[in-house]
Amino acid sequence: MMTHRFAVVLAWWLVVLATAIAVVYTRHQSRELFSELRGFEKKIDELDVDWSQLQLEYGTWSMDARVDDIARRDLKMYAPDFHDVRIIHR
Amino acid sequence: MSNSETYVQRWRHMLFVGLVAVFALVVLGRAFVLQVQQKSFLQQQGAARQQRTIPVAATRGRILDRNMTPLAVSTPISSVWVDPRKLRHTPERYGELAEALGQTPQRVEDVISRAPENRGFVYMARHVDPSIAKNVAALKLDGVNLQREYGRYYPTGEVASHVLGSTDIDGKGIEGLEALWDESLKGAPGERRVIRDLKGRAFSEIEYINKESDGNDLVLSLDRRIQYVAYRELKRAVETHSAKSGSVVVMNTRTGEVLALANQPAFNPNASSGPQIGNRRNRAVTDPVEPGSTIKPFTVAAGLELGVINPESVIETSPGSFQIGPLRVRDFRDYGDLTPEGILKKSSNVGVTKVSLLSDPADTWAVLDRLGFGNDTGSLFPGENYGVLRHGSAWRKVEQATIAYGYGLSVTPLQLARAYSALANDGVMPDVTFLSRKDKNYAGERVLDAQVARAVRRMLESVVEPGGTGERARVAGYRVAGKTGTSWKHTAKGYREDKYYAFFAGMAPASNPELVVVVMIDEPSGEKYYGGEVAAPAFSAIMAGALRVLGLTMDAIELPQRTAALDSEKAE
Repeated sequence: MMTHRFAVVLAWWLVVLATAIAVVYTRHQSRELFSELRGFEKKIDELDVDWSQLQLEYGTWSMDARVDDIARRDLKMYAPDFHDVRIIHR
Repeated sequence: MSNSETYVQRWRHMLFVGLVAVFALVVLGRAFVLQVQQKSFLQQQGAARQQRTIPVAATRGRILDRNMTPLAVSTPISSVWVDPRKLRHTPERYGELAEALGQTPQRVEDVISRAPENRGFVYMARHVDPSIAKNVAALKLDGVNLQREYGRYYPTGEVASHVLGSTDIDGKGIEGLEALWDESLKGAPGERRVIRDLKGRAFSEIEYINKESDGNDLVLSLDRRIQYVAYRELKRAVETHSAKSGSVVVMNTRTGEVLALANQPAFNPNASSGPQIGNRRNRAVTDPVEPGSTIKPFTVAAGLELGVINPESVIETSPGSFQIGPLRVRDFRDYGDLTPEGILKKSSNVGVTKVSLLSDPADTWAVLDRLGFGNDTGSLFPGENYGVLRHGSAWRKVEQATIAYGYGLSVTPLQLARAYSALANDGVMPDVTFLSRKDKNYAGERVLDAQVARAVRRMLESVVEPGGTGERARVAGYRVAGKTGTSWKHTAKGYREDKYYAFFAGMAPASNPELVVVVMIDEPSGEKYYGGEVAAPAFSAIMAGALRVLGLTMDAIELPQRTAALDSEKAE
């Protein structure tokens, strides 16, 4: 009788111990994963910064005024006169 | 002896037990108070000492043109803030900080000394270059911190400045579409819980309280290439004719999408505002003007719609002037008898007045009202002005006459472009939008009979033919229909015969118009001031550029007929 009761208490005690350890473990794991997530997010952030900078660069280099200027001045390009255009009928 | 000894011993024993019991009770009571009664308070306090929630800024959405080219981009940028309480301990290093910031030591000292005694946060410099931020971080100065913020950049500079608007230094939209769509663009900042060390530096982030959500991108109706052409040609026209200001609107006739909208003078949205305040207004939307002769096609359309004239009617305009009460309506010269087409081609004030007087003012008003004059265009643009068109029942004879040729009402260039869309689109007028239309089947509202719209369009083609007022609006390869306008400016001293608005409003390809362009030049002060001389060439250049960008089929050239011979040639 006595041993039976003792066994039950011991069993519950072990269960409590196990869940307590599990709680600690998952908490630890959650923090670890969160820090990993933050690592990825930082990476995303850095890439975002690069991306926005590249967009700006793209926007600046491809500014129509600049392209217009280079085409006309440096490359001596001009819009063809209407009479120089041949229209191809498909 | 032994008796008293045992007495003392027992007394001692009891005292000891009693004391222990009291201690135990005190400890238990205290534990009860702390663990049960004050538990949540203490936990909070503990957390407050080592945990903290920090805000995380959301990235503002981009503004893109209809082809997804970026027109406004937010990019992370640093601001430098200091904790004067800490920095005051190391005044000998102010010089280093100033050097890193590219500022004078005096300014650094000023900022710190001006801060109240217990203030722990003062901006030292906002939106600094990345290189400066790096130098500042390298100092490792206690009390100097970098904060991540977002700067707004407009790659097109002043080209699209009025439409896009601007944001304040905190990234909130304050003008133009930035203000209108602020809610959608700005996103929602998030919060994160972090653990701090003794010095208050966050060293570990534990969890999100709520994740920041970035703002939505906004896709506009603008086409950056057309916008640039419009900007460039308007600027050229305004400079060539020493004008005070100018506006141009390029619109899709079917969808009401604004493909380009520019004003002069413009401002650079990448520079902080300064002496440019007046330049920041989007005149094409906010400044109504008397439209002069550009209203005449609508007077003629109203006459046709109301059945008081037909395209073959003949209206006598001799001797080139006409008296109504106190008003003398004048033409440039005596044009004799004119058809409605002739009236528009020569821009006869007398002819158009006579047409208007044939119908009841309320009926004419109803047509103009349907065409959106005095009404909302649907653009939602902040500060949009609806112009003025008094109700027809209030028109006197004189007003009936002057409104026929564009005085006594005021319209914005945007309204004018929309009304011309009705002529271009066989009488169906779209609502104006600055956003790319997702609904590909969108159709506006019918405001004119299709026959009437087509007839007026044909008449407007004659305006750009030899002998018309708008010859210079022609575009090689395309049929163009449009109308010139030159109106006197109304000032505090009444109409000034030496200050003008010059207009050209038109559409192409006229066989099936896709585009409407309205050009308005305010106070051209050179030798030329007529709409046909000042605005029409700009119209031509802008329309030609837009047609080329969109690759629309030329309708003014003879295309070889598609034949079997041609096809077999191609096959080889």
